[in-house]
Amino acid sequence: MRACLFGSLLLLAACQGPLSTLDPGGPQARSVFVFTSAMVLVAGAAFALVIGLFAIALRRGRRVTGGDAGSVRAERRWVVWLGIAFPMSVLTVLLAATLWVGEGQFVRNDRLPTWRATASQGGWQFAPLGSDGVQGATTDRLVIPAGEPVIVEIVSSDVIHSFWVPRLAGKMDAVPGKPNRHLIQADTPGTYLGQCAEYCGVGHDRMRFEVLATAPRGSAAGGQP
Amino acid sequence: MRRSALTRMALALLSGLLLWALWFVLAYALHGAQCAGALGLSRTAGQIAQVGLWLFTLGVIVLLARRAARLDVSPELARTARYLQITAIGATIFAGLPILVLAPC
Amino acid sequence: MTTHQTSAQPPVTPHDPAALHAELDAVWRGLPGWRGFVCEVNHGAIGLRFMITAIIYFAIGGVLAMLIRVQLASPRAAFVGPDIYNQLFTMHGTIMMFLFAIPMLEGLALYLLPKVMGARDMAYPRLSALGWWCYALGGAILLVAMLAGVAPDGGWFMYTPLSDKVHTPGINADVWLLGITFVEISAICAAVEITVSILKLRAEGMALTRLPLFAWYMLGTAAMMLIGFPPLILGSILLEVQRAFDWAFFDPARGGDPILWQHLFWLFGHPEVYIIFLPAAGALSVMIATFARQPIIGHAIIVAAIWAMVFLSFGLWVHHMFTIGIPHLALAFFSAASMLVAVPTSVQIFAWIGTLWSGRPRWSLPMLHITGFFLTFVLGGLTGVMLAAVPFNWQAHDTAFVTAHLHYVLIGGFVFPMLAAITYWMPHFTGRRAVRGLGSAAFWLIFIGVHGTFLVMHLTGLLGMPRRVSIYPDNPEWELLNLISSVGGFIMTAGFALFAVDMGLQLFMGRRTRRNPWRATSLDWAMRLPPPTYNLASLPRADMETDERTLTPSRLDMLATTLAMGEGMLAGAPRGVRETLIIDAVSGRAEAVAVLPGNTMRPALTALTIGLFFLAMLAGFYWVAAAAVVLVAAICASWIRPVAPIQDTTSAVPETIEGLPASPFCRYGLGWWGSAVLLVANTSLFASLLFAVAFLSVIAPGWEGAVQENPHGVLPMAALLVTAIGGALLLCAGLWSQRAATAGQRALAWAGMLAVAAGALASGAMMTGSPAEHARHAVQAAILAYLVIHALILLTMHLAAARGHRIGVQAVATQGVLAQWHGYTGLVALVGALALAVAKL
Repeated sequence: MRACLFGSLLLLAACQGPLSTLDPGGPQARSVFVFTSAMVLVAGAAFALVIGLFAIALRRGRRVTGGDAGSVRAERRWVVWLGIAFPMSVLTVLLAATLWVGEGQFVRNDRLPTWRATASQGGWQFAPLGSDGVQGATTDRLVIPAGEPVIVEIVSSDVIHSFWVPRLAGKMDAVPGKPNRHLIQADTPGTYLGQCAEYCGVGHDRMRFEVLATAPRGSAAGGQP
Repeated sequence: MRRSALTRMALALLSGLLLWALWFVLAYALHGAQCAGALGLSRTAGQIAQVGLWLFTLGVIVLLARRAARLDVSPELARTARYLQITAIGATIFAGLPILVLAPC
Repeated sequence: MTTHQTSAQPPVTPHDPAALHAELDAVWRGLPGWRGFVCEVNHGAIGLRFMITAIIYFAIGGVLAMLIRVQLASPRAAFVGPDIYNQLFTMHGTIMMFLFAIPMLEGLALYLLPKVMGARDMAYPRLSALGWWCYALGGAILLVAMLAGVAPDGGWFMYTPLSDKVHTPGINADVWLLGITFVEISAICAAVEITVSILKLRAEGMALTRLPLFAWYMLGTAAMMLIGFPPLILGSILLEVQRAFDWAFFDPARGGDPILWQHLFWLFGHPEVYIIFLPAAGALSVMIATFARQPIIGHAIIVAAIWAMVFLSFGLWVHHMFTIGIPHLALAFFSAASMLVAVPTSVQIFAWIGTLWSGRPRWSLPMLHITGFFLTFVLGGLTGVMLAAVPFNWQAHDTAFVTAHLHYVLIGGFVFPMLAAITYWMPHFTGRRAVRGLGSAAFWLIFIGVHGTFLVMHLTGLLGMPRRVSIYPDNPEWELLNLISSVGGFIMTAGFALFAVDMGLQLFMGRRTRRNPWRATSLDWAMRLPPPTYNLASLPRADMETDERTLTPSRLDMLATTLAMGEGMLAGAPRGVRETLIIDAVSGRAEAVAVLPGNTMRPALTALTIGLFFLAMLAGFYWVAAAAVVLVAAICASWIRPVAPIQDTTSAVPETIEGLPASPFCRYGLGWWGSAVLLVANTSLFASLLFAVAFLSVIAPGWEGAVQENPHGVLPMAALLVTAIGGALLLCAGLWSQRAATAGQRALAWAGMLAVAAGALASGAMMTGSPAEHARHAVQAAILAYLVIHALILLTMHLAAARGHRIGVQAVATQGVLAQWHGYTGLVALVGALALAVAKL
């Protein structure tokens, strides 16, 4: 019992980190984390099944009886049931879950407070966008209100980069000529680390930024610094 | 004749998957054109168009599969052809399921 | 050794295998010394050459991987700076994908296919050799660049705008674009040859229903190569033209779109990994059937699974682009399709397990590697299905998780099967038995090393470590994991080194093997080991049992003896030429006898001139490059020549051989088939070009308002009309095909060529802007250039055919090919002119 507890504490500790997708700090990242955990369990079970069957197959030494009829039966068992029906059923469930979890990741309400994140090989720049499209003052940290969903409009001024704050949400690329709108939300106030997640040349490994989530009272709505 | 036996066999085996590929390209192109505003369709109209294309393709695949089943190919290839036609139908259904719950853009 | 025009002279007595061998060897053997190396065209030697070169590149790519792991073993290693590190990972990926995996499977296919199908050679021996020379020279360009410190550094998929001239001003990116395109010529050659050989060059009576399973796998692979490589070839051409001449394909400020590169690359890139997996799966099917001592269960459905994978794999490419900002429904299509492809994969996995379950499996060194395959590939496949789910992909994309996944599927799905295949066929290549002991040790080191390196890497990625970073000083939580991965990497390297030593021991010190040491039932084991250059002294007849599913090892041995005694078809080489049988693709009925070329320097010379073109482009000497193109056309034209008997070159090949027409006299011979298959690849290239036009015109920013009034009034439309008329004339010339060209058909063809070329050039001269100004002019110019190039190809073909007829090539053999190209060029001219007119480009 103590070993289990220790083991799971160790596992939990191993999952911590400022850039860890396994330590979610917002609803988008959290739903993906739960989804991922479920997939890992199912994948583990599938792996055990396949390898178990393989191991048993190697140990058996007997030839199947029944000649032709036997082989058709065997074919149906292995190829049709295990090879087709089993994966199709699992995949249908997976597809449904994928669509459902996926919907929560997209911007569906365009009237949320918006910030523009401009990526370049020199680093990240952020500025709030007013509802009239006018850009506020530029900072090098993204400051958002905690507990509220926020849209980040991601643009690039040179090559393709990627905006990624793993503890809050998945990543969205910064493509020159194509602004992308991305939904993030931080549950609690604090600093969340982000990094560029698309190879962009020599400066790629140092291209990081911070997202500061401020307490809701006196929060910064779109348009105010 | 030489070529027609090969063509017959290729059609019997691959007509379903060829149609699946064609549907996939058309659906993706339709989606891209709509989201770029080139078609002037609303989201709902776009979804209806996608569903229509999907059901039409399924119909054509099933029809051609039944015709292909009557083509004169050897029994073993006929079995492979049957599996391939079923694959095409299954692939079209599965890859098209998202259209029923998601509208374009 | 004289030959007559009519029927053959009395054959060598059929029960004298030694005399048969001497006769065949005189015709089929390579030349001695360095001349032999340069002039070799036989499939066995070329196949081995491909595999050995691939293994050398695997070692180089492996060394690069070790350098990467040394850098990443600690968080702020000063081993290499980021600029060198970027070259390291780019070259590692490029070498492994283009210079190891594809050539390795090509080599195995070239070596095995004729043997497995009861033939003497592949359809185009000179093309096989050309493929190897292009591969060797293209790879050398990349290696030299690496040693000179200007290796490509944009990642192995070279995303724009990072890889354009502005952001990569040096020649690094050009090395990749030109070098890889050079190597891809080799892949297209192999794909054409594999397709035609499998369809037409089998043993008599080997109907399509009795095609060996390995051949089905290779047919699917070749089909994927024909459709999947051209998008990358087109993309590379467009990017190189943008870098060299500033045409605006991928520049969003001028109507281009960097995402176009990603589409073109991944349209190739995803099928590429299935191109790599399918031959390995084919080898696995063969080996598992042998070691289970029974045929693979579910044969019909496995053939279906192969073709399902061939088609479905073309519907997945956007799953590499899930994060670029695509709406949910489009993502969902590709997510669903990516999950779907797991089904044909699992059909094969369970068929293999079922075969072992219902058979009598026995243990061996190849089975050990096959076990490694199961334990590794299945895990990789499962993480692949996870990555197909968009929300998870948004977290894991571009992290070490993807690196872990791709290595699991590639090492599991290709390297382990290839290790098994090498140990399985090593007695075949060398004629010697394995030296016991080292093989298992090598396997365990590799296995422990692979999982040691990449298992924890999944966690590293989920903890946020991105790909392609050289230092991580602020993330102590990644330190131990990276150290474990690096240690695992070194264990893996030791394992591979031990494997190489083991193979070396077998090659140099192994004892002679008996025939068919694994007691397999496929035709490749029905010969002496190592096999003679001609494989079989006589070819199987329709009444001989050749089906691997019904043969037993003892009946296979009897068949081998029968064939060696000359009791099959085409015994010996009495006419002094290299012969093998051409059959009907579906029924297996004998149709003709292929007369194949012998040793020649032409492929090496052709590759050198193609290399001259690529080097001139790389150096920026564009006029030299243009001159090189003319040289390449001339040397390719010189390939059209009659095949002469090897011993007595003054005599001619007879018109019929053993009652069947000889291929030089056939209308639908190997030339016709090869041309038709090549046109499939060409169609894929043109379709990719049309896709690029459609994509840019609909999606790329900055196309509204880019249309300007054309100062030439109605003339540009008139020029397009001339092009279209030329296309129609060519189409008619193609459909109106005769055994020999009549004056009328020739006039039609020439008029068509002239009209297409003139119309396209005039249209290009009257464009409202230059291709460097806006992408719409760039794509317009690209389509017009494609048409002009094809008109020039037609011109070259006419000249080559005319010269060929003067030196003895039969007109009937060239007319069909010309008809195809007339028809194709006519069609693309019509479609191209229509597209340009409709889009008002």
